[in-house]
Order: sequence, then structure tokens, then C-alpha cells
Amino acid sequence: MFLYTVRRLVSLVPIVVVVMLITFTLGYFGPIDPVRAVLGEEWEDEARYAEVKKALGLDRPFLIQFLDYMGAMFGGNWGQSLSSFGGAASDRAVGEGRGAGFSGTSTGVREMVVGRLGITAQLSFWALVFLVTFAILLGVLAAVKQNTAVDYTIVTSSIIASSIPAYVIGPVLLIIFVLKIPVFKTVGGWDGMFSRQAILPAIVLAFGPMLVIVRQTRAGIVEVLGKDFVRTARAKGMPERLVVTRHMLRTAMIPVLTSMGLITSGLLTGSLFVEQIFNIPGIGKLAIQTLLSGDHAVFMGVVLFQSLIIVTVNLLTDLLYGGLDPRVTYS
Amino acid sequence: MTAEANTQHQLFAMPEQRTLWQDALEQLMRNRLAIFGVFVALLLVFVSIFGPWLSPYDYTQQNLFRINEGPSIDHWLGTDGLGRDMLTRILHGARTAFLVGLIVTIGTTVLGVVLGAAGAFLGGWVDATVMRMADITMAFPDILLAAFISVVFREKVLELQLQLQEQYGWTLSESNRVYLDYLVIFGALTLVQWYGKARLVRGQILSLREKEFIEAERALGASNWTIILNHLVPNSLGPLIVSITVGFGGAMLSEASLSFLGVGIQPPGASWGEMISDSLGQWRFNPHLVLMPGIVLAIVVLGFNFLGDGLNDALNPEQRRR
Repeated sequence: MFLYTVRRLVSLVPIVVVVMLITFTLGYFGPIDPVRAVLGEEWEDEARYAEVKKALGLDRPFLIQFLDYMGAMFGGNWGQSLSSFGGAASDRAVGEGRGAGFSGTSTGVREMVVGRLGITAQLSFWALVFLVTFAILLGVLAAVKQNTAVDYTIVTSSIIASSIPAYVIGPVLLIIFVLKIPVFKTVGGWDGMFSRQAILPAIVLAFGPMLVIVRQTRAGIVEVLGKDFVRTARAKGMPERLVVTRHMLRTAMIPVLTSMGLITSGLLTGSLFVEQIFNIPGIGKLAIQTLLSGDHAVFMGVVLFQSLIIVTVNLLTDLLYGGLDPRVTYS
Repeated sequence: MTAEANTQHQLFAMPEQRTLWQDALEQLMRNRLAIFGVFVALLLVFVSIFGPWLSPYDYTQQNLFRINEGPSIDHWLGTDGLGRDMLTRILHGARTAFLVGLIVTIGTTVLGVVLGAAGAFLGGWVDATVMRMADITMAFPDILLAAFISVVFREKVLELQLQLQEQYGWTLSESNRVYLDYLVIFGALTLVQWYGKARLVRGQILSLREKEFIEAERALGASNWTIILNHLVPNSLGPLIVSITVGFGGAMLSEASLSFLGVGIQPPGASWGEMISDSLGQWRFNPHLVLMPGIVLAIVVLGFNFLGDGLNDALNPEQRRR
């Protein structure tokens, strides 16, 4: 198991490197010239242009730049946001050289990404709370009432809930709960995870991964419905509620836990749209802002960070699967 | 065995003979949600072909005296912030969605089948390369990667088009460059969504190859091509059809998502996602502008998902859930 874990971790390294290479290449050939962005109006001055280009290290060959970028990434320096330069700041770029002296300020890519991550994480936490309470309950209900109208209704409505994109559900909920039935007065923005503003976005975010959890819970429970250990539990007079929670759910949660990867990527993708609709300054909003403004260094940071989350969760899922299901062994 | 069965049939009443496809069709027709999906898909095809003739307006035609109107006789679904007819734009959005769905699906299917089959048959380093490429694509957050690709390549494609126009006078349209957005979206989505089908095809071939009936065929001396054409293709077609249907809906949804984020189809082109983000600022005052494209998008995506589910039940009976 230990050896297996190490081997899997090592096999992640080339994937992460290629992911970096792809984002770096896209950024390198991207439409924004960082030198022009740094210089602002001054960019037509050729001598100045060359000077700043050299200071930023952009006059070096592609491969050297990439290796430098990769080394810095692994060293924890994810580069600088273009907003740290802004016109007159080119003097600073020339004076201090690439990246030097900037880390620790709020314009460092890593600080920006990590700073915004908290908000997305809080939002995702609430979404997960909704999911764990409602989706698992619905899944259990559908399984217990297997092949009845209740089952079909639950499964069909979760297909509907998860198929419709967040940017359709979001506005619909806004129109219902703000315009028609004014439950919420202020919407949009972020005011901490315990404010009322967090409720609607978290619900919208929870819609995406709902189907996966309902389906997996249902499948898991259906599989153990007729098993001997369930019959024994019933035979010894255990109340039905306890049979379901203690015996059936515990086994049925394995497929749910193993779809963690799907749930995580659902939450990450969903946060892109939810944060856009509700104007929440999380990591998804940061990605779209910087993509549209051409601040590639930050956008690349977000993409890499999300890739890292995805591969890590997938690895965790595989390892957890081995830990939870005694039939699975890794060698 | 078959000959014997046939004589038996002729002696007694001939029982109805059904092929897999007839059986699947019958199964599909019994599924009401799947029928809804078929209906939605047919309607989408019809509208995307005949849309421009169904409405008296052009999708870019503005009327600044009549902006943000509700439904009326002139404008059945009202007008948007620039006084463009909503129904016309939704019809044109259908064309965008269908075109993206069609071309991206063709692209991912060709790429997926070729790479998946190559990996399965050739094995070795080819297989390893294909699988690592799939792993890497999977490691990306797909919408963000597609968004990045489309932002980077839009500029390049535009430059290329301008050069072509300067040198050879070659252009599709002087004023309207929406077709360049289409090209970029096709490319970006194909690059991000191919791996599902490649993994599916590879898995199908690898698992079928080990089955007894293929072994029997091989023992009888059948050539590789006979096995591929008579057994591998028909047997992996079912899952592939399901994946194509679901992927079609997925490609349309991704296009809407990219356009919603502002990196897909650009104004004045019409896309449901772009229409939603365009009117999002007005949800308080003109909710119908956000709702209409949203509802249409939701119905279409749902239709394709139900159709995919129905096809899965009909074509892959061994996987049937209920």
C-alpha cells in the first residue's frame, strides 16, 4: 500500500509538468504582450521596450523561460500579476528584475490564488452540506422505494437539476426568491460564510453534483438491500431507521466517496458560473477576470492549481477505495 | 444449431424474429422521456436549418425605439437591450448550438475512435502515449482549458484571416466575423472533449477481444478484418452511440458556457449562453430576457440527456439500471 502510494505520487509528476507546459505554451503565444502591458503608453519607445523585455526575462528562448517558470513554480513563486506593474511600475520591474522583491505583496499569483480560494472553499463547504443532507436522503429514499413512482420522480428530478447549467438555475432562483417571493433582499457580493448572501449561491452550486450523489447512494443501497447482514440486523429486532443508517449507509457510502473526483470537479466548474452570477470574489471569478483582462500569469496559476486539486482528489479516491473496500488490494 | 432451429420454426408457427436494433427501437419508444428527447433533437435540427425563414427579422437587426419589450404580436418573445427580436436570436442561437454540437461531435468521435482503436490494436508506446494524453487532458479543468485555448487562438485565427484577405482577397464576409468564433470554438472543444470516446473505444475493444466468441471466430480462421467488421464494430456501436448523444448535448452546453463567460461566440453572433450573460445585468427589470434563452437551453440539454439515458437502456441491456 505504501509503495503503491509512492508510485502513484511519482507518476503524477510528469502529468503536472506537461499540464504546466501546456498552460505555459498557451500563455506564451497568447494575445497579450506582457511588455506592452507593463509599459502602457510608453511601449513604442524601442529602447525602453527592449530594456523592460530583458528585465522581465522575455528575451530568452522559449525552453529556458519554461524551465525557469517551472523551477519557480515548484519553488513556490508562481509569478506576478500584470496589475503589479501598471504603467509607471515598469521602473520597478527594471530595477528589481523578474519576480524579485514582489512576493509577499497581494499581487503575487500564489497569494492571489490562495487568498481567493478561501471564499470558494467556504461556498463549496455549504454546497457539500446541502448535498450530504438532501442528495443522500433522496438517494436512500429512491433505493428503499425502488421502482416506484417515488424512485422515478427522485431520479428524474435529479437528472433535471444536474443537467441545467448554473447560469440558468441561478437567475431563475434570483427571480423567484428576490422578485416574486422576496425572501432575500441583498444578493451578490460576499459577506462571510454565515451571511444570508451565501445561501442562494451555495444552493445553486449544489445542483451540479447532485445527480452523481443521488445515483451512487441509490445504487449502493439497492446493492445491499437483500444482503444477509441487513436481514440479520432486522431479524434481531433493530429499528428500520438504524438498519438503514448503521448498516446499509455505511456500505453504500463507498461508491459515493469514490465519486469524490466528479463531485470536486463539479464544484470547481460550478464555482466559475456561480461566482460570476452572484459577483463573489472567489477563485472562479478570479479566473474569468484575469482571462478576459489578459493577466495570463494569474490565470495560469488558477488553472494549474485546479489541475493539482483534480489529480490529488483522484489519487485520494483511489487510495481511499483500497482502504474502504477490503476486497481491493494494491500491489 | 441455427439450421435446426430454422426448420423447427418452419414446421411450427414462425415466431417473430427481431434484431438487436428492432428490439432497441421498441425499448426506446416505450421510454416517454426519450421520446421527448427525440422530439427536442428533431425540433433543433429543423429550427437550425429553417430558422432564418421562420422569422421576418434578421438576428442582428436593431430597433433602438423598441428595446427591452415584453412579448407582443410583432415580437413574440419581446426584444433585447438593443431592440433585436428575441425569438429570432433564439432561433439563430439554435443554429449556433446545433452547428457546434455537430462539428465538435464529429471531431471528437473521429479523434476518439482513431486514437482509441490505435491504442488498443497497436499497444506498446502508441497505447501508452494515447492514454497519457487522455490523463493529461483529464487533469485540466475542462471549461478553463477550452476558454484559454479559445482566447489564445481567436487572435491567431483573426490574424491568419486578415493575411489571407490581404494576399489573396480570400474572405467569407467583410463585416461579420462570427464564423471565426465558430472555428475557434470547434477546435477548443474538440481538443478538450476527445478523451472520453478514446477511452471508451479502447476499453470496448480490449474487453471484447478477450470474449469467447471472438476467440472462437479466430479459431475458425477468421481474418482480423472479419472480426473487426462483424464483431468489434457492431458490439461497440451501442456504447459509442450513447456517448455520441450525450457528447452532443455536452458540446452544446460547453459552447453556451464559454459564450456565457465571454470567451465563446462574440456579439453580434447569437448564442444562448451569450444572450444570458448579455441580459444578466437586467434580471431585476426584464427577467424575461434572461429566462427565455435559459429555458430553451435547459430544455435542449435535458432532451439530449434523456435521449442518451433512453438509448443507454435500449442499446446496452446488460447495464440497465432498473
